[in-house]
Amino acid sequence: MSTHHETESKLHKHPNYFVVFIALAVLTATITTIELMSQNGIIAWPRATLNGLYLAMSITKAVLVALFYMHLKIDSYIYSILFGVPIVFALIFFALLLI
Amino acid sequence: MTVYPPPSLGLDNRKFGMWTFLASEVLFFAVLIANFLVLSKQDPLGTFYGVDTGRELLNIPVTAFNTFVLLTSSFTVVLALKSIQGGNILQFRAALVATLAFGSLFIGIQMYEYFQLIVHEGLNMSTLFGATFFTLTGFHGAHVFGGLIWLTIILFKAFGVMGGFSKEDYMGIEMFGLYWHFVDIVWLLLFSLVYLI
Repeated sequence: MSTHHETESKLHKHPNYFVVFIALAVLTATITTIELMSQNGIIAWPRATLNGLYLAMSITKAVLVALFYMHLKIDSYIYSILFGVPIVFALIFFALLLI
Repeated sequence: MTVYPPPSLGLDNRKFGMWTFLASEVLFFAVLIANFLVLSKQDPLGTFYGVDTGRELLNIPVTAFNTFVLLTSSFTVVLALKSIQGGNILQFRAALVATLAFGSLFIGIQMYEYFQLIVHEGLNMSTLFGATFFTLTGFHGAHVFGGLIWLTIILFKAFGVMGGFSKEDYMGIEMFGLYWHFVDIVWLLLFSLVYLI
């Protein structure tokens, strides 16, 4: 386990936030464009495919924010566990709703 | 600067507390999202408007732009943290002011969206779709609004009122950043789950 000081010094090594921002913006623009094209009949993808795509891209964006902006990638793993456990519970909750 | 003794895990107490709070917020929003996903699809509103659900009433281009606004505010928060850690006070203050501006713009656009939905589309809390939609997005908006109040207090401090931040004392910014990014994550998911799916 990294010490407090090691973690603090790692946090000063910032990732390229602008690249992350561009990735998030491009993903948002992509899902919006796909949905508008679908609504206007330009593309005729099945609804299930579209929903799966939107969900996958949203989760990707959320993970990017958590890893880079919230520093979970370089910070103590204990924060990842603390944040991850309720997400697992939430997923179980969603799964139970579908049954 | 107050120096806190590290707890047994070797982590900062304040940061640990913030992550614990965010963990509780995950479940709070999970319940609201489940509420929306289950109930909004059972709404007789669709019959009234001649559409499948109330989702067709939502303005996707405006909301997409609002998503971009919130994403930009998240970027300016990490920029503020990077600036203060590097000792660049001018850039730090500018990034915080930009965050306040983008956050306020987000709330403004959400109010515009609500106005359009309520006044022009006739959507209200008496329908299941309306009730779950306004509860979910409203609670998110309340979180953004709460963040803006917190940010205003931080700004006073950043401009020298009530102490100040420095290269060594930036935990207040880091904790605010965690909260703000969490609110951003929730919105990124809501944009897909409420507006697109």
